[in-house]
Amino acid sequence: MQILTFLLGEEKFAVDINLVDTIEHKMPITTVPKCKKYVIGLISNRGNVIPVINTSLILNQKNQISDFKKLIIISLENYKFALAVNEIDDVVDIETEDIKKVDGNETLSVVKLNSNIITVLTYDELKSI
Amino acid sequence: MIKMLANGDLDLSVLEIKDVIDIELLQRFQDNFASGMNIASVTVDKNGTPVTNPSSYTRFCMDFTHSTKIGDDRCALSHKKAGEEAARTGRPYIFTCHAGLIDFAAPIIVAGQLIGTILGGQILTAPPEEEKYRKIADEIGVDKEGYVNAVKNVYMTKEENVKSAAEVLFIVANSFSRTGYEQIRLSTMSQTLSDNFSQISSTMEELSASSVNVTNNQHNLNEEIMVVKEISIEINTILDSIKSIADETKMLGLNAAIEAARAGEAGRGFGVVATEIRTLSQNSKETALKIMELTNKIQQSVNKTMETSNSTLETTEQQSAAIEEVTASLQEVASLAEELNSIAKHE
Repeated sequence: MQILTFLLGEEKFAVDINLVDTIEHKMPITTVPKCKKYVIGLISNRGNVIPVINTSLILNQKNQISDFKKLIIISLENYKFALAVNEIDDVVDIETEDIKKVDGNETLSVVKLNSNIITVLTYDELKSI
Repeated sequence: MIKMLANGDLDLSVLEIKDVIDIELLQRFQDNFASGMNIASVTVDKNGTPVTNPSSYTRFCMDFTHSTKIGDDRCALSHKKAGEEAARTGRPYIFTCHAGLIDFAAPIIVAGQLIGTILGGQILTAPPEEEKYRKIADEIGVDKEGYVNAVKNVYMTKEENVKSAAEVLFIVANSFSRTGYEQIRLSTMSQTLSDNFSQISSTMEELSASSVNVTNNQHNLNEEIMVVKEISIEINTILDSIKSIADETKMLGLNAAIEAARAGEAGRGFGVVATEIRTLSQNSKETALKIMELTNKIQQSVNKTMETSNSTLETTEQQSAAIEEVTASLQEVASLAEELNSIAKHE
């Protein structure tokens, strides 16, 4: 399988490429009232209005990042949303077995990449947002 | 002859009496003095050749003594001896000539060098003894009675008068020659001064022109350097575009990879192409960054060059200004030297 790696500040994360619709440059974001804290606002993408998620916030980063430049459009069955990130890194081939569940957490997965352990946003993890 | 030595001094060994004394003036003075004092005189150069006409020569000398070769030679020898004595002492020398008349020789000296002698006299200080003159007439081969008659007509005066007359001629002739000598020195010096200043002045003008040239070149150099700087800035702008094209290509490559992954097995070949595109974009970006480093180095180097060039420009401009000032002062001095020269030449 393939994963798409991206950067939030200095930290690298990954997302299952099968969940990714497209990647886009940052575009004007419409803020909305009374929405959840991790929702930055709304964008229009290929005819759909979709929410933009503050990825740094949902990933619980110690140093919160706000300087987003790229958007990863995620498609989950019947709905879409965008992950705001600093920079897209690469598309990487990995073995499916290399994705490990973290003990004591049902949804969190990691993968060892060049001797670094990075968080992989899987279907289960994204579904749980 | 007026000749300069290599060190700029006058060559005294070739200096002649006519170089330092206005012979016409000397002749007038000598004639008037001779007729006023009744004392004959003539001026000879350092070789004994007369440079003036004889003034108030007696018949005794002109018509008798000098009329035969023996007489003439004896006169010449007598004058030569007296001249040498006068030159040796540097003072007027009073003596009795071979024919028994009282004569004097006054040296004309400039800067310690004998340039001529004033010879004169042809007088008596005591009544002549006829016998003695008959004997001399016999020796030189002239008519004895005529000779004795002629000597009786020779002017007779006291010895002090002869001395005074010799002294006056000595003082005046030497004063003439000293003035003439100083005039020549002044004239040659002022000529040298004027020539040198003209030379310096024209050299400074050349220098001034070339320094203006240097300044202009430096200005051109500055402009060219500015052009290089502008070009390197332009290159950076183009590199920015190349970088953003590379970024865009990367995005395209990534999106292509995503599409290929979603297509599953069917998209595998397309996935390889997508990877190649990403590699290509990465290479383009790296190359652009390398070029940017180089252009930045060029800009740094240009900035340093500009600094140096500006300071050079400032220096050359200061030099130009200084040279102009010096040139102006020099021209003033040169025209003063020329004025001095024309005053010195004026006789």
